[in-house]
Amino acid sequence: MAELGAISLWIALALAAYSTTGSVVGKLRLAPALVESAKTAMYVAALALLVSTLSLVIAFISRDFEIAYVAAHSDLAMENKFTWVAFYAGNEGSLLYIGTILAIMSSIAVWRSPEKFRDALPYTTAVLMLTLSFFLSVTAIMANPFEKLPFVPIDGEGINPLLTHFGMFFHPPALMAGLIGITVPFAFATGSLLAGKTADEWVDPGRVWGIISWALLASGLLLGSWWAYTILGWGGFWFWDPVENAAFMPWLGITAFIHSIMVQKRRGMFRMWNIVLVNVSFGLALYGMFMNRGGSVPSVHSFGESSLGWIFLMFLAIGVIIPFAIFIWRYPMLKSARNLDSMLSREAAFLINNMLLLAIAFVTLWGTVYPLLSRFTNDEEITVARPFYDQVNGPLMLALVFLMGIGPLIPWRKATLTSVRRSLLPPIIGGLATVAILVILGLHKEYALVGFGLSSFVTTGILMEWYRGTRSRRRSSGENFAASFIHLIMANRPRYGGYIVHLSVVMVTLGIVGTSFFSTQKDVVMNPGDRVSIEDYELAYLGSIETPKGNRTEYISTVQIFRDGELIDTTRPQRDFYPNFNMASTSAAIRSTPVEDLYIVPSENLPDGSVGFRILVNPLIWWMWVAGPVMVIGTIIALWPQKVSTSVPVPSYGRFSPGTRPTAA
Amino acid sequence: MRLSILRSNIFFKTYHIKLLLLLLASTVVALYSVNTLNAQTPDHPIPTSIESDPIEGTYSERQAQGIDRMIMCPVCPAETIDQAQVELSFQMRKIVRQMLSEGSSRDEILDFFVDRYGKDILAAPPKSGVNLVAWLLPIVGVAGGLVAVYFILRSMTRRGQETVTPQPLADVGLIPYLQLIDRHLEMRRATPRSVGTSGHTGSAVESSGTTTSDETEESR
Amino acid sequence: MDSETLISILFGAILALFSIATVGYSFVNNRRPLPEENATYSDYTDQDLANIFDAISTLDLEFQLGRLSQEQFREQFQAYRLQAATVLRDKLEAGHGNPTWVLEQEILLARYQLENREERIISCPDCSASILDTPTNCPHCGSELAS
Repeated sequence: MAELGAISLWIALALAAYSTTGSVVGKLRLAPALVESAKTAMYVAALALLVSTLSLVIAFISRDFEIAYVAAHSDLAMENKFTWVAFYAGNEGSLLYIGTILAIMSSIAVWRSPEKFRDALPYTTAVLMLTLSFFLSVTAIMANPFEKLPFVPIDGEGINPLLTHFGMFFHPPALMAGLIGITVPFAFATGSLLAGKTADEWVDPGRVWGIISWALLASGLLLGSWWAYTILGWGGFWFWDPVENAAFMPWLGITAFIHSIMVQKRRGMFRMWNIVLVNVSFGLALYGMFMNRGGSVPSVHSFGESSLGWIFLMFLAIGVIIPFAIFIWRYPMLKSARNLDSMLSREAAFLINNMLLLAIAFVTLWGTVYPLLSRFTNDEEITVARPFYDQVNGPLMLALVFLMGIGPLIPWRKATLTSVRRSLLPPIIGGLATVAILVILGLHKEYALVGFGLSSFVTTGILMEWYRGTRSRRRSSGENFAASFIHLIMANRPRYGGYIVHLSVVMVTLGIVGTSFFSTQKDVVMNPGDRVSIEDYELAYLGSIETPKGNRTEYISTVQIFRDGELIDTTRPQRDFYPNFNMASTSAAIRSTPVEDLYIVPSENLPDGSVGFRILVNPLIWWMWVAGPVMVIGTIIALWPQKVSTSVPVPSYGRFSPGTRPTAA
Repeated sequence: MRLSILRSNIFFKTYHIKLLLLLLASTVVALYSVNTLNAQTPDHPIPTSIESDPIEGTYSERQAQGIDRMIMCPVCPAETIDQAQVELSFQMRKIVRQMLSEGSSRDEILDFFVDRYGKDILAAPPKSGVNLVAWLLPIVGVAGGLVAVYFILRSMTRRGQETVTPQPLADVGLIPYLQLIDRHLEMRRATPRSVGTSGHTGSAVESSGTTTSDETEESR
Repeated sequence: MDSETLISILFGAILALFSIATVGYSFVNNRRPLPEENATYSDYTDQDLANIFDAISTLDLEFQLGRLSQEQFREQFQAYRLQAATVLRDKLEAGHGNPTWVLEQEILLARYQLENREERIISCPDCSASILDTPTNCPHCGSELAS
């Protein structure tokens, strides 16, 4: 099957290249047939890539070890379900995955692009296919998953143990899809500029695909945090690792973009700014993908040594310089349609939101870059890790949460001071009340108080909005509360989807504040029969069972959890040691409640039979994981197309009755 | 619930937005001046946990963990000794606790490791000397950004107010189109509130008395 | 060369031929399908008009939530209404859109125009907008008219 995979990969590359040139040439030479043909080529390229993907999957399942990639990332002992994970475990496979996803997203985006964008569509196709051509050529020429070994090994090297975890089924694909998905809004924006469109035709598809890639990236980041939490065994969820940061920054950029694009959609403003934003986000996304493969920075994430780094860097340079050149060329055309009516308006709030998000991205970039800077200028080696980011990004994120509470309460164009005060009063009371209660209960950590107060502030604001909206709708339609509420959401989907997503952000904030300030950690070495207490739990270690398996040794320990003298649970935290990789993967025993997580993980299995445990009590982290599904629901509601029917049934004179007047309120 | 206390007219238009930005900026700056996020307030000293080589003397485990998080593991890829699970990391943690129980301060312990491994053993740039730039630049950048946003917003409003009041309808030919639009709006309000249509609450428009198509037709 | 490799290459060749065929088809079949033909009556969305109606929806909602004064609401609503009417006129005159939709709009329009021609056009005494003589309230400023 390897041959089919390789052939279809090359076919896809040829089609992508043809699609790029055909779109541009056809548009310039006014040859609509060529443009059509180029578009078809894109669809077929997607198909070819699916065939290629399928070939690789079949190769894995049939354990075709003649293919170098299969041999490197699987073995006879590997369960079949991990084929999916092994697929993108290495450079070659993940590049193929990225190419396939990009081809599919591009096809859907172009197929569903709005009518009024028709003029600029060939340019958008060209941009998308140019990016695809790059990825496919790198894949086919430099990192071909179908390369064969000169002999057939008896067994493969096996899959990296850290990847054999549930979260790994979703984290890398979501993350990579999110990063490459940013190409789509970027392509719409660039296509619009190339075609010389001055109005806002690209805004609708740009917004939709911006939100899609945002949601994919956000899911990827959250899933990665969850994976780190459960499998890496130190109880944390975010490293501020250079590679993590490289995925975090484009997410910040695209968050800023999906907010400010609303201003352009509603009022035709921020035209230049949105182009800049989407270009920057795309550049950051390329940088993110570069960091994953560059191998220049040691990290848990890097795919290992790779010479692909420099070629990605080249594409990154092109991907930043050329779009900005285009932007400067078209700059005179990008005047705003309207002025800002007032500095107290939602437009202004969005601009501040953008600034805060970009500030966080800047700080993150600065932290990543500073060690290099210090090495070159001071000749000093400096590390920038978690404490730096916590202290510098922390306040910025809190400020952002604060803004998240105010922004939705400010109307478009111009807000009157009285209406703003009236809208802000309940949330402010809610926030201050929460702080007061917490202080009375004995909590004095300033940051935590601010964090909780702001969470309450935002939540109160959102709930007030829902209540007011439901009440007024109920008044006019006479339905009960539940029906009014549902119909209110359905009638204003972007808005209410956004509210739900904001709620999920509040949940994440709760998780972060709770864990950062109030978690308790204990590292103990226990012999069978030993007990240890932490917070109001008591833990008894009963013993471990050592099971050698094919490529690893499994140590399953039994730990009992007591509270107030009562046995509440018996857990089996596990640690698997892989001698081939000299690495251990852990499966922490986590007893999770909305209040707190009790986290037990074995960190060492000593030869004398004792086990070193790390025990953590992490308050409120449950909320962070629950935020994921909530965010997805909010995104779906926000993206759900509202069928706006502008057709009015033609009246026939006989039956026409003037005015189907609704009953007076 | 209306609090008339707040109904004072001291603050006008741009003044309040200045205040808002100032509030935001000062909050951010104030929060910066508070120290580490993981507050290292030493708790009451707790007895040492059960370890294979118990360390004599009492010290705060919480403080020890905080120091662990400030020290990078020299042989691991970007992990602190708190996270890393290699032998060297365990040894270093033991040294930290040893020094704490002997009465060393946090700074003394950190200096000890810096002397042995260099400045890059610290998880964050030291807040002194040249490296102060690392901390100050973001603050300056953010403050600068806030100022820039303020001026940008101001220039956007300055560009002349857009006339919002509709001109008297000079274009009589538009009237039938207006009637058609009114009919569209009515149809949207009249459609049953099922999922998939974008009906919307229409009573506000009704009560403000600006729709005409019905009155136009019925009075004929 | 074993059979599996042979089958692989065969499938590869089929894929290549398929690609060439579909890509080349666009040149052979020169008729450009009109996008309107694919739109069905109820699925047709006129995006510009829809955006304005959307904005009116949000305006409504914000007014209901008490964020806008009566004055502001009326101002902005009138502006949107005018904008929508202008967009509608431009579209119909240019002939853009689903032919069925265009046809029904024009039927309605013709009806209004017929009716309006029988009426007088006067000026509202309050806001001096040009309006029809029949309504009891001025459609723009809402003030009462003496008939």
